[in-house]
Amino acid sequence: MEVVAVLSHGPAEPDGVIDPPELEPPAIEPPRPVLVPFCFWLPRTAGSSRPLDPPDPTALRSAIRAHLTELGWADAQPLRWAITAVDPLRGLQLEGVGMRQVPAAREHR
Amino acid sequence: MSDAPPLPTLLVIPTGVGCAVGGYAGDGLPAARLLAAASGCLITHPNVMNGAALYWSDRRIHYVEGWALDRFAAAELALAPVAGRRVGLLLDAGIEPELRARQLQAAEACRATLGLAIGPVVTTDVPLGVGLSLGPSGTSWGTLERPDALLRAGEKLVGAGATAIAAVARFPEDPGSEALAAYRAGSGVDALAGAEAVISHLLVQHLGIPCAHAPALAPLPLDPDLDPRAAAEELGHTFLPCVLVGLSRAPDLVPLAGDGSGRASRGPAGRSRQGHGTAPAGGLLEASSLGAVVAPAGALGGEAVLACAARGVPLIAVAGNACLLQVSGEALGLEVLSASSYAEAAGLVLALREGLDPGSLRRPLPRLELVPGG
Repeated sequence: MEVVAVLSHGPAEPDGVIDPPELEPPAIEPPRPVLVPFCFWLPRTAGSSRPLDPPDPTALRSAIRAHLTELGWADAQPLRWAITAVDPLRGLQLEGVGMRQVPAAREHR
Repeated sequence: MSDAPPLPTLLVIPTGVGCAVGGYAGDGLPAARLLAAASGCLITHPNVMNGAALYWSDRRIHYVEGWALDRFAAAELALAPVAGRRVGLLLDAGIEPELRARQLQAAEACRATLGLAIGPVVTTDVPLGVGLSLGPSGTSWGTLERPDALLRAGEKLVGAGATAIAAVARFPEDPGSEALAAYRAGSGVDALAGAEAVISHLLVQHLGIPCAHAPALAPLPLDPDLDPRAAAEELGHTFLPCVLVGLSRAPDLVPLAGDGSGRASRGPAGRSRQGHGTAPAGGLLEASSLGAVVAPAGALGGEAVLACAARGVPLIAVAGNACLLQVSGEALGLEVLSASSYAEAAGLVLALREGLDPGSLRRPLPRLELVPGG
């Protein structure tokens, strides 16, 4: 089936005369999403005000972002995650996959 | 049947954690049907409803992908029922020609036999490169080498008129693996589930429309000892029909304003309503109307359940649905209504719908607590 569609990341077409090829700027590739699996233990007090308070999902998302930043992925956001274990000493085990944008030419980590 | 108003209820059976009920091929569906009857309005996710060639369509059940379900529970999205929608088909370029033809024929069958609006069809510009893995807890996770290709194909489909997307990716397979043998014997984790969830999460987050995924896999050799819960996946050549049926009436995902007003706003891609026959204004289903959430007793650490619990929505923990995890209400400090099975959970939902205190149905019945000085 033929599909007629406009990609949001596609190059814009100029209205006027197109520059001669030698004067065209190099094509700028949009950033590319990359998935980053993670798993870490979060001390229980970091996700709640007291050790036995139920975990606050907003605080947990922030903790995941902070963890990904520590790993060098400052722009990464959690895509899918869950608490997969609870330990009285180590706290909450957070396991999941984050997503970050990297320049298209950069190698995947 | 109850004549009380419906009690919107959220059913969560996490994907890829080896749930005894709902961890296989749509074997959470009977529980979903029962809870839909008890509540009059059930919101649940594809993992519960998808049985490959088997499915069940029920107007009381709202089919909401996991990422959107989490955002719904967090009161960031509302759901707007629709009469129907056009489901675009996204095919991984890594699918071999014969397997691809099978997917297309499944889609044609759903058009011809069920009358669903399907199309257009777009193939990714490069293979998606699905990778499967297990996390430290033993749950299934997965990644994609080329999420950018997935999202580009999704954009093409939306540009061509699709208001929902059924994605089919080529999954790696190892017919001789111990993990697959355990799954087919009814004692393992669905190794594909984690990667499937990542694919649908990516699409829904990026496009703001309902999306779900079916894996493309070659048929397996006959296993005479196949567990009944895994049998639905061995009936045909594709897992696609249930996805197409589920998406065909999946509700619109309506972003809510982040100012706490609960007002609907436009979506991330500039779309606020997509399906046809949408409910009138005020017909939105929002997290604030949830009357119960039902989840396996050992898998309460997901975002949707935690968000509901934080809002004080009654949490029914089903002890009879064992899984790999032991993230219980007690471990997390959550107050739960314990149910030994989904049948008991449905009874609790019905009690809540009828305005009964579930505690009054249990014995011993403690005396009223007297507040000192009262």
